[in-house]
Amino acid sequence: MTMRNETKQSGNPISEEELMNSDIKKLNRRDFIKAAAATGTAAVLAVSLTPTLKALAANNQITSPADEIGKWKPTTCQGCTSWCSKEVLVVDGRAIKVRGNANSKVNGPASCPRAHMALQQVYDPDRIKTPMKRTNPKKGRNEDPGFIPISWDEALNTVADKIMELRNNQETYKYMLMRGRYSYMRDIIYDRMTKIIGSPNNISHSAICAEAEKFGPYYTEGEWTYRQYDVLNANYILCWGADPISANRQVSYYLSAWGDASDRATIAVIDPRLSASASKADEWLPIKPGEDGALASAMAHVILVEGLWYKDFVGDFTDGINKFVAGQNVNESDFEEIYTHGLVKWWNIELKDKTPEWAAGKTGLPVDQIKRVAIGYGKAAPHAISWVGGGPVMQVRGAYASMACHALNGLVGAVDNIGGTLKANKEYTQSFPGVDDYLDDIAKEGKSHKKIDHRGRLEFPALNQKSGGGVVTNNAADGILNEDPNEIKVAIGYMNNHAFSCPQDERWFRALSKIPFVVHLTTNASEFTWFSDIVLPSTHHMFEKWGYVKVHGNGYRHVTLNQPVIDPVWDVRTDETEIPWLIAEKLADRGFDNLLRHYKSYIDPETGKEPTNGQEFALYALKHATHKLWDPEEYQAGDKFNGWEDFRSTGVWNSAPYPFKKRWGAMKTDTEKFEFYSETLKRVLGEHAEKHETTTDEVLSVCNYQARGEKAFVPHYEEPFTHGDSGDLVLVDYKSRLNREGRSANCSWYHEFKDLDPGDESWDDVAKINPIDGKKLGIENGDRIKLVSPTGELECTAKLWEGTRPGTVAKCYGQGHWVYGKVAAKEFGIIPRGGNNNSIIPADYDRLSGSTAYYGVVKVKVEKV
Amino acid sequence: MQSLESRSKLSNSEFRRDAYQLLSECYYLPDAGFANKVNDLDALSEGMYASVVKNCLKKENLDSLIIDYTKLFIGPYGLLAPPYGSIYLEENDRVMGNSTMDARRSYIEEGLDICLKDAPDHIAIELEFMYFLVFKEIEAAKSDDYDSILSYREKQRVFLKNHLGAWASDFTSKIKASAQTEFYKNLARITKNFIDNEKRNLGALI
Repeated sequence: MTMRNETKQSGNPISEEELMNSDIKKLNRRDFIKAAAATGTAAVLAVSLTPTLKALAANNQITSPADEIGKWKPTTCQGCTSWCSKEVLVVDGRAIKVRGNANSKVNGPASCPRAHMALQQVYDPDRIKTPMKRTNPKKGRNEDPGFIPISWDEALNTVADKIMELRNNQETYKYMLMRGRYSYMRDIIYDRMTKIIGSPNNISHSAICAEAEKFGPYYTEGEWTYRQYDVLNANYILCWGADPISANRQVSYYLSAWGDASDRATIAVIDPRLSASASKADEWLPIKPGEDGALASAMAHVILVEGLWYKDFVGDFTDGINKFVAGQNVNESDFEEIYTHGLVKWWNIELKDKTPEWAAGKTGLPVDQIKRVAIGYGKAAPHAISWVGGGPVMQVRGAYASMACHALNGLVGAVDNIGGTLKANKEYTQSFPGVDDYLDDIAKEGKSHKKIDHRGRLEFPALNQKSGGGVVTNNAADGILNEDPNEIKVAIGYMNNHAFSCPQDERWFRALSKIPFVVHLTTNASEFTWFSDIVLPSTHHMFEKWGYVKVHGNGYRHVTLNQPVIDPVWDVRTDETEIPWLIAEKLADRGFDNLLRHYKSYIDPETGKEPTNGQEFALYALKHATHKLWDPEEYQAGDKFNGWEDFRSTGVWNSAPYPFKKRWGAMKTDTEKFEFYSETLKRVLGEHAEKHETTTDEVLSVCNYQARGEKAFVPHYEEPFTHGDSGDLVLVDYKSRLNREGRSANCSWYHEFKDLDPGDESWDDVAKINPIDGKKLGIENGDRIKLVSPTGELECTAKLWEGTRPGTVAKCYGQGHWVYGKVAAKEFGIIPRGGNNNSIIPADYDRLSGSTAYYGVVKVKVEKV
Repeated sequence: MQSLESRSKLSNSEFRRDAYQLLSECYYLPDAGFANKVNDLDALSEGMYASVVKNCLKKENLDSLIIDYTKLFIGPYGLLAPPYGSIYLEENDRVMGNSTMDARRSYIEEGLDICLKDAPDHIAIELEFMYFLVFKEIEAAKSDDYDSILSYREKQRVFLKNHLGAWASDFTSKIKASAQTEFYKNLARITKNFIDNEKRNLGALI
């Protein structure tokens, strides 16, 4: 039989000659026959009547072709802390489009640009697809981990064995849980699991987020939380480093409302670089980095001297005559306050000499602009918002700038007022079952040890409501490296990337390399993953996970559900619920069933059933947490539902409208008033000093603040503290409107649309330098440059841009990944695309809040490459 | 094992069917039974590749194959040859694109759907689908159902044209450029040659 015959017989038109002339001539029929003969399955197939299928299976249920129209399904976007309720168009099980969930009174149908990039995240080919283990025992920046796929069973067995080792050796305090972004299912893995295993070391990311932003509001009005802003009723909006239409919070809502807000209000943006919001503002105040406290004090000074404070909130002089005159003390007894405390003390201690002329020298802003903005803001009282973003406060000494900028809201009576700054509305979710019944002696002993981040030590007050009440996230690296207070042997991280997102990132390279066993729960292989031993593929929060978040804006608070709206492409599990459950099962197999017994106590409120697997557990836990929102018999307030399914299919619960002025005279401060002289801070700082048997002045000295004595208790100006004296320009780090908190760098849209950030370029990472400085430094547009700081360097492209204040270099955070994916990194595992700002920012802190300093913290040298 | 002589009675379609199945198997993560598949492949490629494949068999252990497979087809640090059609057929480097859904629609039209966790246009799945279509063609031939024979031939042509055949060449180039083991380098060559041949034979050239 010839090949020609063969081909004719099978209707194959190719001639032997053609076949012989092609490069496949050797791969002839005879080879195939031999191959088939060598295949056991093939031999069977020769007589088999049904095909032997592996990836495909008969599916008789699908009778019609595609569900072409699709369905909009509700879920939640956690691409930033806006936490918008969203809807996803799902066609044939695939997510196609994203839009705002119109049922939300917070964000409505609006969407910001980055929400859409979630589609590129969930279908990223570089996602972790299967559990993996490290094969290279060496760890380090230049050590390829050599990950290979393993089964879920093998991965979970390994994790459980390591935890049991700690339990058996009674050293459970050497276990650590690192939390990055979270949903409110977080306590299942972060709190309950860590406690039941027996460790004090559940370390949240909060202090690399914006804790200093909460410090000012807490020590003036008693709220350690983010605020919402009634922009549609405001007459003046003052933004301190905040860029509401780009980053910060409730971006979808503010984007949709900003046009109307700016029709009514004067908008002034204080920022060393021309942000998106600054570019659309009435006033741009390109302040010298770190001098915001000076401007805030001067504004307060002007408002008082001009008699523009809001008398219905603050009160007035007993004789009605304004005695606030520059340079002169005022008698406290001459002023009668209503809902505030310590105004005259503030004036006498801090404000009386803080004239616009003085502030002009500090801030580099013109005197007349300072006056104009202060008077304009004061005249708009009480509908005048002072919006404090991360920029002025996530700095060394930023706590007092946070107080100074926020205190303006008190001065003009904008706190809790129409057109002002509001807290969160009341909501009715409930916590998960308690752990007390599940803690054995090993856990109790382990839990009693000190935490790895050093919170509450003399040099790290972290005063979230009490000494050591906050976290010092970035200092955990030093705790690990120095084994202080102890070594860490087993660490789990989820939805985090400390080896990229924390300043002086190389400390984390070394710290993670030092921990003998690291597990990472993640969607993508990040820099943190590089140092891990086991990698567990996690669900994407917007498409594949049960969870919920709560957030406030537009005068409402919503509770919005994360829902599994698609079938995941790969074999992923949910980080906060399923994976802890699976670990709990493995621990139970090894004789330690406390965690599993605890998790089994999360019963379904509808059926009373206890969960039998991780997926049921995730769902029951969510139904339990949100029970009072959807069960009509448990109804409290806000939106009312007919039951779980009604709530789930709507996707979001809205609170009652905001009760304005309800907190006037009932604030959670020691005086119940808005404190210009913070009795609350005086007490808490005093308690911290007492704990360490020292004085508050000594605390302030150790923690690198300038204030001494009474000044420590009022909002006041502190000089910026900047590393790198010999540098050329102060680094102005900021966030991209496309960042999705740093998880979007592997999306091509991120790079394609990077020029949506003012001054930035598509497919590049540019350091923006004012042309005046460019000339001085001999730098031209497009030059490849290095930014060099005392702690590191990065390479990027120079861009001469007038939107950068002279004396500074503005560079967006987000690029510089050397892993994460093929798009994010230039050469995967080796060469970063762009530069990571955290390579050049030294690890330093605003110690009173525990916050990591990102802004105004370093001067860098600019070198041509 | 049957003798070569008796096996030689296999039709052209039968060895195409078996080749598709064999190649599909080769794009799964190698496991302990993988040596058998290498042997099969060795037989398949007798002539041009035989000596190379036999040599690489001796040199390569399972661990190095697993590491190479991981870097080529799974990642995370690598994914040097993404095994998904959409990466090659669409923009933006994503899985689950329109082309992926089209591939899945082809399966559904045959009463099939994927039953493992991966994108429907994974190379192993597309190869398996071709195996299935050829299998059905042979079945039709046994009952002299010429309409069905032609119909399954046409389905093969269309699927090859729109899917497997449209990206196999780019895909296998990436494997050849990045594979560390001789095995995957040769698998890439064999896959490319086989698919090219199929495209010629079925008139599915684009």
